[in-house]
Amino acid sequence: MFENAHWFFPSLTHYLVVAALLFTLGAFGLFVGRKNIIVLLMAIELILLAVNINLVAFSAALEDAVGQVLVMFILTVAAAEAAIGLAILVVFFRLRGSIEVQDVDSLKG
Amino acid sequence: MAPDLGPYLAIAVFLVVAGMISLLMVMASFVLAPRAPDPEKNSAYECGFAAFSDARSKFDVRFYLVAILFIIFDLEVAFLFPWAVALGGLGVFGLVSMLVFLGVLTVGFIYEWKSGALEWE
Amino acid sequence: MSETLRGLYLLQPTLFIAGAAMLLLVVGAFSNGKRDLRLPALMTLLVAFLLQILSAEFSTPVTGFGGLIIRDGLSDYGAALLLVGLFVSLLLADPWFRREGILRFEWYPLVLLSGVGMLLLVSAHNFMTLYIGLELQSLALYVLATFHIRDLSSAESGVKYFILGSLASGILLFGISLVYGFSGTLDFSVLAHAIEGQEQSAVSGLIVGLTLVVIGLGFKLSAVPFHMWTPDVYEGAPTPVTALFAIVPKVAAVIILARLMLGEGAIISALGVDRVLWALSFLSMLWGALAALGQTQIKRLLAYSAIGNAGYALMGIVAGTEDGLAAMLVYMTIYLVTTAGVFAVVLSLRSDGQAIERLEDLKGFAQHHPLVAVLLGIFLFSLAGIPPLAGFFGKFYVFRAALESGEVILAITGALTSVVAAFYYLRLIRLMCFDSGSVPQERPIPAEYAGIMAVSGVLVLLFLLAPSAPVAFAQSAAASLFP
Repeated sequence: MFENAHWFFPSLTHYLVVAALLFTLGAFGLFVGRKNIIVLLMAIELILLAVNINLVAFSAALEDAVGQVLVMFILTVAAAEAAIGLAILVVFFRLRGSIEVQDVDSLKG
Repeated sequence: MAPDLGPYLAIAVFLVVAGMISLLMVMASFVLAPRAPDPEKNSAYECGFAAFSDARSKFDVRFYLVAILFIIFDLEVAFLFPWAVALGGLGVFGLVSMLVFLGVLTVGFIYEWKSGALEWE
Repeated sequence: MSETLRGLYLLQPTLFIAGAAMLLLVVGAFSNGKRDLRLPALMTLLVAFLLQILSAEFSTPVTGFGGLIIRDGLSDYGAALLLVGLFVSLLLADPWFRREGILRFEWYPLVLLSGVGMLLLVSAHNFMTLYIGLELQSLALYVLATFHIRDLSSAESGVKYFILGSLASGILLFGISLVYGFSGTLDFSVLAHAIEGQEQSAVSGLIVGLTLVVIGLGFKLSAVPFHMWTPDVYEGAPTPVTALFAIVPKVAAVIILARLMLGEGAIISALGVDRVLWALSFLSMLWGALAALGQTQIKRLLAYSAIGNAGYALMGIVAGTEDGLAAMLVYMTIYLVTTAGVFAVVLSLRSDGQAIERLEDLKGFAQHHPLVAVLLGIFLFSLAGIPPLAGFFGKFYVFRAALESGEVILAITGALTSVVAAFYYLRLIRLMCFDSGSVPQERPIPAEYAGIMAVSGVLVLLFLLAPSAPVAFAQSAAASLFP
C-alpha cells in the first residue's frame, strides 16, 4: 500500500541538509542577529542541535551506536553550558542593567 | 525501496481518533455550556496575576536561578533512561558507574543547598 | 572489567584531582567558605603530579577504556607541564585575590576541575574524550573569567569568552560529526587507518570535518584569525585568572593538536589539514607581533604576546617531524616558565592600593625597584627571544625544525616577527628604565611572587648551561608519537 512512498522517507542527505541549514542559521544568528545576548544563547543551542541531528543521522546510517552516545554527552554538556551561560548573563545584567549586545562594550577590542 | 510502514499504521489511526475526540469535546462544550459573561471573570484571581497581559514582561531574576538549577538535574535523566533499559546487561559495573555519577550530582546538590541557592529569599 | 581497571589506573591522577575538587567543594560549602583551601588544593596538585610521574609509561603507549584514552610520553609530559602550571597559577592567585578581597573558596575547585579537563585533553585518543575534556576545561574557565562578580569588565569578559568559546565548541563538534559520518569512527588510530583506501567523496568530507576541528581548537588556542576574544578576556578577567589563561590551557590545546596531526595522524596532515595549521601559525605570529605595538594596557600586551607565542608553538607541529614536536614541547615549557615570571611581576605591581594595569604606570619602575625591574627585563628579553636567554633556545629549536622540514617561509616570518616583538619589549624596558614616574609597587612583595620570580629568573638565565636535559625529556616524549 505504501510502495510509492519513497518521497516520504528522508534519506541521510536530507538529514544532513537540515543539520547544515540549522548550523548555518545558528552561526548566522551569532554574527548577524546581534540584538540580545539571549538570542546568541539560542543560536549556540541551534548549532549544537544541528550537530546532534548530524550525529544521529550518521549513527543510523552507519548502524553504529557510538554517534548516539556522543549525542547524549552533547545534550548534557549543552545543558551545563546553557546553565553557565545564563548564570554569567545574570551577573552581567546585575552590573550593566542590560543584556543588549551593543552594551557589551566596556572592553575595546 | 519503500520501508515497511506497517508499524506506523496504528499511530496514524490513533492520531485520527485522538483528533476527532478532542474536536468533539471542544465542540460539545462550545455548544452545551451555559454562558454568563461577567467582568469579574477576567480580573486577577487570588494569586494576583492579571489573567491577560503581555507575555513579554520582565521576570524576577530568581526564576532564572531556578531554571538554571532545573536544567542540570533534568538532564541526568538522559543518562538514567538508557542505563535503566540496559541495566540487565551491565551488571555490577553499570550499577557502580551510575552510583558514581549520582554521587557527583549529589556533590553539586550539596553545594547548591549549602550556598543557599535553593532559598527563595 | 580488567579493561576498565586499566583505564582507571591510567587516569588515576586525573580522577584523584576530580575527587579532591569535589571534596573541596563540599568542605568549602559546609564551612561557609571560612576554611582556607589553598594548602589542600596545592597538595592535591602535588600528589597528582607524583601519581602521574610514578605511573608514567614512557616506553610504549598504553590505551584504556577501549581506546578512549591513551597514556604515552606525550601525555605524561603534557600532564606534568599542566600540573606545574596549575600549581604556579594557584600560588600566583592567592595574595592578589586576598588584597582585592574577592577570594571565594570556589576558586580552588574550579581551577582543579579545569585541570581535570586539560588532563583529559592531553590523554584523549578519541574525539569523544577530546570533546568532554575540552568542555570541562572551558566551562570552568568561563566561570573563572567572571570570577569577580562585582566588576563589570570581569562579567563582560565572561560573556565574550562564553559566547565565542561556545561557538568554537559548536564548530569543533560539527567537524567531529562530519569526521564520524565519513569515516565511521571517533577513534584517532582507527580514523588514521580508515582514511587509507577511502573514496574521494568521503575524503573531501573528512577534510572539511578535520578543518573544522582544527579551527575549533584554534579558537581555544587563540590563534589568529580566531583570536578576537583573547585581548578582551585577558584585559577584563581578574589578573590571576588572566595568568591562568596565559599559562595553562594553551599547553593542552597544542598537545591535542599534535596528537591529532602527527605520528599516526600524519595521514590527516597529508590531506592538507596541515596547511590550515600553517595559516594559523603564520597569521598568529604576524598579528601577535604587529597588534601588540599599539597597546597601552599591560594585560592586552600580554594577550597579543600569547597570540604570537601560539603561532610559534604551532610552527613546531606544522614541521611535522619528531624534532618539530620536541621543539614545540620545549618551547611551551620555556613559555610557561617565562610567563609565570612575568605574571608574578605584574601581579605584584600596585600603587596606592590599586592594582595597576596601564603600561605608562611602569615609568620609572627601574629606579625604585631595580631588582624586580631587572627580572622583568630578563623575562621580556626571553619572550622576545634574545640570546642567551631561554626564550632564544625555544625559538631556535622551533625554527630549526621548521627549516629542516622545508617550511622556509614560516621560519623567516617567525624570525622577522621576533624582531618586531623585540621592539615592543624593548620599548617597555625603555619605559621602565629611562622615564621617570611614580612608585608602582607594594612593599614587601609577597613571598609567593618573590619565589616565583626568582625560580623563573634562574631557569630563564641558566637554561643555556644545560639545554640538553629538558630537550632530552621532550625528545623522549615526542618519540612516543613516532615509534
